[in-house]
Amino acid sequence: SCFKTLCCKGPPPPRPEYDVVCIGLTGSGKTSLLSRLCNEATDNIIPTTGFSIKAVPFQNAILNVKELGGADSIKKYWSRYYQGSQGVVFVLDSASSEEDLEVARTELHLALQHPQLCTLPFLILANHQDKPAARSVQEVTQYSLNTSLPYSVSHSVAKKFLVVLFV
Amino acid sequence: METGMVLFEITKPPTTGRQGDRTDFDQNAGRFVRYQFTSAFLRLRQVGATVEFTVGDVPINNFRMIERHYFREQLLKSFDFEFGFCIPSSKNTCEHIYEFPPLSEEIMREMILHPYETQSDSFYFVDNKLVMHNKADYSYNGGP
Repeated sequence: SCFKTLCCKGPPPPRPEYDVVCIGLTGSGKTSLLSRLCNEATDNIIPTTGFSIKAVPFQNAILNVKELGGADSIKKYWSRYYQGSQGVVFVLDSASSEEDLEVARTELHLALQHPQLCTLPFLILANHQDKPAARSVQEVTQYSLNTSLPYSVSHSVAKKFLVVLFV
Repeated sequence: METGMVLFEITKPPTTGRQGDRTDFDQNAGRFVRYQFTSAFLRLRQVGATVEFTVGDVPINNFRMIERHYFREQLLKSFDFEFGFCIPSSKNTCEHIYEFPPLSEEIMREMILHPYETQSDSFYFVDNKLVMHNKADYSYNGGP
């Protein structure tokens, strides 16, 4: 009845949804990070051995994140999941060995140049900032990125990880 | 999803693809699950569900799941998930948020009064071939 229409609020408009792919080497903290964002426990996390699709809700949007395992046997298949992505989250372990950081840098650059990802916004997270061996903001951005693409750097409030944004 | 409450957990995951064996699955060997909810469930707008499955040592080029929810003959909601490529020897999870359409008071009343007349069919396709068909039915008259 029209009385009901006038008096009852309609359902809120649905939040926009975006498809995002989340990559990074094994142990960088992808699964933990996504669980944290969903307010889930992070104590029983085991390495992802395939894909893990998670809907991460934010106030103004929902990110449908396709997180991909970072082990060697899995990362060779990463590009099979790039199609349809609207953004990329790349997670780095700021405290990893020089060798591992080199591998991460290579993978990051491959992703940055991949035809299905090169026009998309990238969010690069230098994780594990709380570890004593963690490299600083300058070191991570200078070493890992070293690119002419525009980017901006900001620190998270918790200082657990810094956020490097590509604008 | 708004309250973050876990309603129920079903742990046994379906397996797609056997060790190097691509022969047909028995389409009649599906699973049947019966869900028993309270009437409050019908007023939920968003429910999160996680599907977990493992893949044998043969990669799958295209894995797709189509799920349809009915009350009697009326289609309530249809979901179509195209997982696409699945890595061999992988374990994969997908959490989906089901956004339920608003139901009229009349339909909700009928669904509560007639348990198990709300049903769903889940169809699983590997490379466009149906490999499994699961069915479920639902009641909404459960109570404390």
